[in-house]
Amino acid sequence: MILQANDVHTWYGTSYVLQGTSIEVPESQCTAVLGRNGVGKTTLVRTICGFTPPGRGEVRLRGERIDAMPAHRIVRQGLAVVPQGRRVFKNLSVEENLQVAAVDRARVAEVWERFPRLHERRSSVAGRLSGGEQQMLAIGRALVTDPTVLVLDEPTEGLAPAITESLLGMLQELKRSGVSLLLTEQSVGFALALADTAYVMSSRGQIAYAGTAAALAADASVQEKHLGVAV
Amino acid sequence: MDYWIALLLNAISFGMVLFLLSAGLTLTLGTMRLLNLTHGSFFLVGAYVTFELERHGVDLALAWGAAVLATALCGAVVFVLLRPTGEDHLRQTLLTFGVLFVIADAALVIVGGDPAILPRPGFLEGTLDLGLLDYPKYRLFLVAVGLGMAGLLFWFQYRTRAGMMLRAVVDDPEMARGVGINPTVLAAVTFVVGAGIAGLSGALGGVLLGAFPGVDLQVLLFALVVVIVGGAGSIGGALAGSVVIGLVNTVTIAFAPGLALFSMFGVMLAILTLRPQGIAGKALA
Ligand SMILES: Nc1ncnc2c1ncn2[C@@H]1O[C@H](COP(=O)(O)OP(=O)(O)O)[C@@H](O)[C@H]1O
Ligand SMILES: [Mg+2]
Repeated sequence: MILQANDVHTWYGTSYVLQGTSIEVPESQCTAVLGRNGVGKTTLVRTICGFTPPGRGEVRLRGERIDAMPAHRIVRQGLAVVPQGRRVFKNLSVEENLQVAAVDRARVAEVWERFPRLHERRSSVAGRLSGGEQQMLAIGRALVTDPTVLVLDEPTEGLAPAITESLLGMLQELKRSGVSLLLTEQSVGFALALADTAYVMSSRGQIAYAGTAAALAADASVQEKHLGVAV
Repeated sequence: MDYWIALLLNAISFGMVLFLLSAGLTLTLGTMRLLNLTHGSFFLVGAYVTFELERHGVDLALAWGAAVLATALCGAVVFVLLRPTGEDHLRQTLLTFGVLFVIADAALVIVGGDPAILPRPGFLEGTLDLGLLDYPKYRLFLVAVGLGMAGLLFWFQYRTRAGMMLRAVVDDPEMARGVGINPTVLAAVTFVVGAGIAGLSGALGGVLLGAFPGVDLQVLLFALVVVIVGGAGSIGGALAGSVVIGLVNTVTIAFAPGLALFSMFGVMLAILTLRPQGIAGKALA
């Protein structure tokens, strides 16, 4: 397992949100965490990337504990995050957004190749980009840190269907290039098109279902109960 | 006419001293959320180190350099002291206000309570013929230094990677960490450099404002007003705020000296009401 969260418990102040969550992300695969709004998907991402470290439990990257590391060191260990809402640096240009994160110049050049649209807009202020372009930039900004694991928190949120479609293509290509992906989603169709393994989160970080993506796709009752999808 | 131009130049040169004074404060408050009231002491230290060294025969340019280094060192000490306060502004206020008084008392013991008359280099004595009027060379020198420093800081913020990182931290501090930026290193460098520049404002601006017990609090007030008016975190804002406050202060002192403080806070109040984030700032969380 390239990434593991073992029985993590996470609080926001006194608010006890993740009450014992465990997931595993196999190398070079895509793992999806599905669940309705408010169940704790983002909190799990924040726990893993160091924004809100767990009060209890452990997070391991390539077997090494990272749960007590500050976020900026976790990135250097090879775990990058594309946060919910994208959070590009709005007052920086597209190019600067990549430069502040990049481990070297070659990585920025790779992103230009992968996303020619970003290269066209490299001098634009990131706050002026469309939602789809911002998502591309958020992914590019994560890629220039040279990650072995890429964590994406609800990447399709607020994107038009056509953009979602091209995002799917990009992520499939990323997966083929060997990056391990951890993805949280409310959009079941999108997640299952990409994921090999799937978890369903019910509430307070409880894992209600774990199995292959194919098995979840075939399990109408779980989908209906926890994801509100009438199949 | 001459009178008005001279008044304007007075305001701008004073504004440049305010800019040197406030640049570090706006960056540490805006980017690192560090509220540092010791900032006023940096002016005092810069002025006194210059005064003492020059008095003992050290070349003035060297004394200025030493003043900058000494205040940068003070800055480093204050930064270390501030580490345990985290993001608690109340604790930062109490701690740095305490340090301000410690430094003030130390200065009183070492330099004494008499106002120090700060030296100017010989070649900046007298006036320069600007065509319309003769104007003091030293004040023109202050304008040049202030604008030069503004240019340098702009270059740093917009052309260097560290500057971009600093702007990323202003935009979204958490996400900045999330892409690998170490905020502590960045904060330390910003803090120390900002302290050094404030020291320079004391070394150079002490000629205008004087150096005496209590000047630390007086300039602290100026610096806070400039930062609030200009908007925390923005060099451009600090420059604009400095010129605005320089103008307001100079003009009021010329026509209604009793209202100087009143007018300055009036402007601050107006800005806070109309544009709470300041001229160029983004809202402080
Ligand atoms: N900063 C916060 N402070 C307190 N509670 C929070 C905070 N962020 C999220 N929560 C709460 O934690 C729970 C899980 O939120 P979140 O992880 O964002 O869910 P999801 O990403 O699955 O929609 C929600 O009940 C939410 O209200
Ligand atoms: Mg979420």
